[in-house]
Amino acid sequence: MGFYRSLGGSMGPYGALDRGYGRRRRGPAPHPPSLPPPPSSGPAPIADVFVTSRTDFRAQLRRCQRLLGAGGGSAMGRPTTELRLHGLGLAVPRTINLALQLQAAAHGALWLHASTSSVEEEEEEEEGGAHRGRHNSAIHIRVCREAPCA
Amino acid sequence: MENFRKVRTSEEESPLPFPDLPPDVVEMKVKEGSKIRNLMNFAMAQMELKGRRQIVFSGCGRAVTKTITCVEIMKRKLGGLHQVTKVRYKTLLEVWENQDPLPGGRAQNLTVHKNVPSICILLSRDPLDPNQTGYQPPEPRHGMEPQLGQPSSSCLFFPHRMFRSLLSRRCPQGLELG
Repeated sequence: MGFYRSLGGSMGPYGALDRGYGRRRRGPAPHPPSLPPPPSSGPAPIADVFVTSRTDFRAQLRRCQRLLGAGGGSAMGRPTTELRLHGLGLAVPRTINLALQLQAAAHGALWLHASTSSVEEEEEEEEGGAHRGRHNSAIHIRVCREAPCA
Repeated sequence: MENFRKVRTSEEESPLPFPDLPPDVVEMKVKEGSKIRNLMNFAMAQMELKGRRQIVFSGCGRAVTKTITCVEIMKRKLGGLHQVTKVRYKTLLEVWENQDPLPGGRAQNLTVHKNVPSICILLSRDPLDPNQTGYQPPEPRHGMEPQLGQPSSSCLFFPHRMFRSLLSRRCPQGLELG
């Protein structure tokens, strides 16, 4: 301890010099990390959401609202302008519900552009080794913040 | 609520969300228990034998998937159909009746308004306005099917299915290791 006392009594193992370690700083960092500037051109950010019937509905709704809200497309540095919801089979009614709930929460300021398709699912092989294709219905809803997205 | 029993369910009538439709257009109201075979027999007869140019499929709740299935079957069979899809809520009125008799002897009814997601799809042989929301142009005919290595449009939406599809096409017996 004599060594630390010779340094003024404030630089001991738990003194002023050590106090900085393991403590959370308050206020802005002296040198904030520099981020690359957001791209000014290029395609508008579009987010795809695959709706399942097992995920909690409110969680899916929150995720979509976060993606559509300000800073939703943070990876690109710009907010997402369009959301594409995809639902397959049993998840189709839930996908429609999700899109309509998003539209209602935005007070009708969102445009919904729905389209349908069928997806071929291959089942287990039959005895002869032949494949029997089975189709399942799917829906794709584009949720746009700006007018027509057709 | 355990003493209540649902006695009746009715739908609120709402006009079709497609303007400029002829008054005699056929509307196929798809229900949860409808048979696809019965629906398609009637709808195909209307389109082929009676020569109708437009038909509407509508369904709500758990019948939405069946509605889309009917539309996809019709598009595949007829080809060259223009489509407009609209989604909205439909209000169902459920009447629940109290099982416990009231002192007055009259039944106590409870009416519940329930909003369920619904879909309305218009199929038309004639071209429709491509700028309206929900428009879907006819798909190319069967000779334009994508080859192996070129994913179909549905595979683009569900990439995991594309992987499975390619795997099973290339290796029908499964993966051979060694």
